[in-house]
Amino acid sequence: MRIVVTRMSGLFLTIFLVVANAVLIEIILDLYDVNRHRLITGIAGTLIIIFSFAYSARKRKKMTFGSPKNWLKWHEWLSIGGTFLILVHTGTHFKALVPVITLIFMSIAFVSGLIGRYIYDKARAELRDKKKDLKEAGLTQEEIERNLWSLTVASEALSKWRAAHMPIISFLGVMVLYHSISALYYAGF
Amino acid sequence: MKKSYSFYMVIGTLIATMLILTGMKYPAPLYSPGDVTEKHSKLRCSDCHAPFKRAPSESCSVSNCHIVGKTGKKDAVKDLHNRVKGRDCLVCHTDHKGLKGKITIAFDHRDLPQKVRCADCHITDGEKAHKDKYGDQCQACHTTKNWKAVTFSHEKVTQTACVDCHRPDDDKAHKGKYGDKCQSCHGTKDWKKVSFSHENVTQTACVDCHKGPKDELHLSSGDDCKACHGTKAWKPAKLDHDRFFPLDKEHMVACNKCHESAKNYKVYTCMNCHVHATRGIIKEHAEEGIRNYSDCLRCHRVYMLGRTYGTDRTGENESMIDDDDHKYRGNERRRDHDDDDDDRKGLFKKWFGDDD
Repeated sequence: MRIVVTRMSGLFLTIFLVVANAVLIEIILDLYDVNRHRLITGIAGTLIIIFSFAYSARKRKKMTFGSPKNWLKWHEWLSIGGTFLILVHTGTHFKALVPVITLIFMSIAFVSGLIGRYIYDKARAELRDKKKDLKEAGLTQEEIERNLWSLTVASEALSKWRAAHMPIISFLGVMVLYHSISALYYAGF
Repeated sequence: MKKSYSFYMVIGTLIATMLILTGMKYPAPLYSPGDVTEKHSKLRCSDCHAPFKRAPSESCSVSNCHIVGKTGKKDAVKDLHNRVKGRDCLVCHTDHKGLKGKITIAFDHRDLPQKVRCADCHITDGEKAHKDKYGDQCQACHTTKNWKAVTFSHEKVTQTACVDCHRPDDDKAHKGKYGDKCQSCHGTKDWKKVSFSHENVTQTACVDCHKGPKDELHLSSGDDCKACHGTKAWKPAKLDHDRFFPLDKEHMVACNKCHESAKNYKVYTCMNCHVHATRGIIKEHAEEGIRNYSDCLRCHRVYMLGRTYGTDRTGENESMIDDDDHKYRGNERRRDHDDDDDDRKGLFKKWFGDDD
């Protein structure tokens, strides 16, 4: 029970820290009437989030560089960082519908990702005994980790979560593209 | 059936296509980052924007909206626009800042020729804030980055009289009494923080500035405030009674014991304790033609605690008392004074005799 509470706290704390820091930066920048950061944070945040999907490519063996477990870690941190930059990019501007819808999808994807991480941790904890068996079978630490990762991501709970996460990400991808093109159409390069 | 990313992307694209089609008819709700200024509100997006370009300057002069050489209310502004002719309007101007939003953003003042003065473009607001007191060197306080953010320094002010800018507030606090040397009390860092010194006051009468209390004690004291009050602090006040008469142990009594009338503390009597035979005293003084017999110290001298009180009118008044009864020094208290106060009247009777 304590572990569940701790993990849930971590989930909410991450959301809070990302949003609170973005709001704080927006307040400071607004105070000095700074607006030039909007374009750069928007582009940087988008690129960082896109780059974080290298994990997805690695998982599907579209590339072989790095271990999937490490890429998952990068995927998480880069998504958090990218989301933070997008929130700074948005600031308090919720006027146009296209960017707002994009922001909503990004927020849902962000929370969904954190929930996925929570389910992943839970599934991994359930496989604790399996780790012991693998150790006794004489596998190296690296082999054990790889094995556990495969078993974890293959868990039923994560499969169900993925079924919801994937469409969110897909729609987000479409909206990001739509928002970027429409912004460039009107604001130019 | 397991769906791939592509499947959902196709669905998403279909939804986005619907939005795009809606946007073709009503682009502003979908794409506009903020309301355009009131004067631009009737324009269509395409009147200013061109696909995949920043809003071109040409859009501003289309349909003769903004004609170079006629833009701006002031001549200097028109002149400025003439000189920057051909430049991108968006360097200085923007939009989508709301209906009442400010669409002129900071531009590089270095583009201006030397002869242009600040007041040529900026409203000098002489009547409102400056009152034409600060000269024409605007840059002493203002910067080109933000006209409203000022860094004021008294050193940059060319005028010297404080009241040229500060309200003299004579009726409120100064009452015109402190002269024009404001710096005696005020500093240039904070006008409200004052360090007052009486030495700087040109007038001498306390009542010129201080409101004397209207109670009977003060009314009878006249204007000699410094008899009790100091200049460091008006309160507390201390009356040095020794100047008039020492309140030694024997005389530490209620004020009205001696000063029967609170209307004038200069009037006193000793006879409420020192019981001389009143009729005898009246008679004795009347024989000498003295009517004011109650102001004892006017004629009689008493030596107490190392000082002499009263007037020596030797030669003028034969009844001058300078005998052993009134002449005692410091702690050399007379034996009788050590007795109980209740017996005082009786003792005085013994010393000075009975009526008649």
